[in-house]
Amino acid sequence: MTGTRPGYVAADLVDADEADADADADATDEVDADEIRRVVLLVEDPELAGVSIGDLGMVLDVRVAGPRVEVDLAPTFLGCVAVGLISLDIEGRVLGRSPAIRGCTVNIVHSTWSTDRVTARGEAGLKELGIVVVRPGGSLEQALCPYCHRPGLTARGGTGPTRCRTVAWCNGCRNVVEAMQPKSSNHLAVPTGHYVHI
Amino acid sequence: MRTWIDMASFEEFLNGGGIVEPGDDMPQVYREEVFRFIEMHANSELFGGLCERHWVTRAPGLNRKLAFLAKTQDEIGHAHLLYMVAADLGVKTRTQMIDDLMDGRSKFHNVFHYKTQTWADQIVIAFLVDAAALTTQQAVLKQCSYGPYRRILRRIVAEEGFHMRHGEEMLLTLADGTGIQRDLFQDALNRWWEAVMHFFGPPTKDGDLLIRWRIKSDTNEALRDRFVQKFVPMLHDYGFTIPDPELRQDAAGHWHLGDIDWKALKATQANVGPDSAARIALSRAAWVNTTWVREALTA
Repeated sequence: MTGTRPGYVAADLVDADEADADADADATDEVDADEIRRVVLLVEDPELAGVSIGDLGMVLDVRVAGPRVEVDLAPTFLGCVAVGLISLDIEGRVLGRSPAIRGCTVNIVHSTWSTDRVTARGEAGLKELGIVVVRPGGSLEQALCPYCHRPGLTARGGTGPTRCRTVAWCNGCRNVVEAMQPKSSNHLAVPTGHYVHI
Repeated sequence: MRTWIDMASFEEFLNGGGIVEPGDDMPQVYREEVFRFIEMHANSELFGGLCERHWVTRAPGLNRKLAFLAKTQDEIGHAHLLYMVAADLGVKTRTQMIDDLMDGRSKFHNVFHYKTQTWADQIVIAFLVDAAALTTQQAVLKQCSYGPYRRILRRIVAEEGFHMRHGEEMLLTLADGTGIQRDLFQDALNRWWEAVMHFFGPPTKDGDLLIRWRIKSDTNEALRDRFVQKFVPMLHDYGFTIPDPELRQDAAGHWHLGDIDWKALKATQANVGPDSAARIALSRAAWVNTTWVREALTA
């Protein structure tokens, strides 16, 4: 998935190396909206080493209006407590970007995330961790084991260490695999547009 | 499936950086050592989850309650992954592991043999014990010779790092708080420091099989020292006192602990620590009370 879609900032358009180099640049008074977007997309998920929230498709929108930045963030499941830390990380990175930025608000938008939002690079990063991405409408049985790249995954227990993931067993290579739940609303449906301000 | 003609060729394979896979014809003694190590880790995650669950309803504020709920899910989830890898080794079934744990025949980490008396005790566990666990797990992850364990550790370590950040944030709240809050943490630190030092285990003996077979890569002493160098200055910075009168810093800035009394650790290893019986009974109750759920799921 490399294209943009309405309301979605395509993380695939960001070159990670280039953005990392930029992160070391001196802070300036100017607020460059594109740069702020990139900074937000590159915030790493606190539980998934090496995978950014942009690549997970959690960033719905980044709005830069003068000195204020507003980010819409979709957690991968209802009640995810990691969003608190992610919000702090976003705030820290954005405010540290330029002294001209006076405020950063992160809105938590529930019930809008699905694995459709995970980019190709996000999928590759998750695979590195042994986590397979099941797309909406797909199934574990069709998925390939992230370790031996063969089919043959069997579900083992409803949810894993976090509620956005299920546990599976690879019958081929006998490794424990996890799978991203296709939808954030799998467990409980809640109205969209429920905002929590930090 | 790979086979080795004798222990010498297997060890040569390990020394060359080889990774053992489940289908390999590994020596039975290696299989049992890996199993024992993973079973202990799984048991400790399960007890960690049960310990944190106690605080879900007691933690101050909704956010803390939510965090403890998620951490409980994490720990029980980690236990689930670990029991799968352990059971696959074929030394014990999952049921045997659970039975042994609940009948007091298995080991679990020393820190879960003590009662948490105050909220600050739980913060010591959430920050210092999680940090200690992270230190040991990172060292295993670095070059563990058993493939499936190393693979799930990658995910577990990332999540433990997240827990530690959460624990640190709770600690900072107390450190930044009133005199009463700071005293609460200092009291907890006084109660728990020895147990945290014990967490790394007694000095590793020469010829230790876990190290020889690269199941873990650092001695208990080295891991404890790594922890001390990082967390002693940090706790000092926050204005707390380490309850070790012999603790000293040498000219090079290196911290040295006083002699450690291992008596309390030995009691926990024999499941006769201060709160061992109650903890084991609690885990049994949790298991028995949820039998109907497991039966319903498999019906």
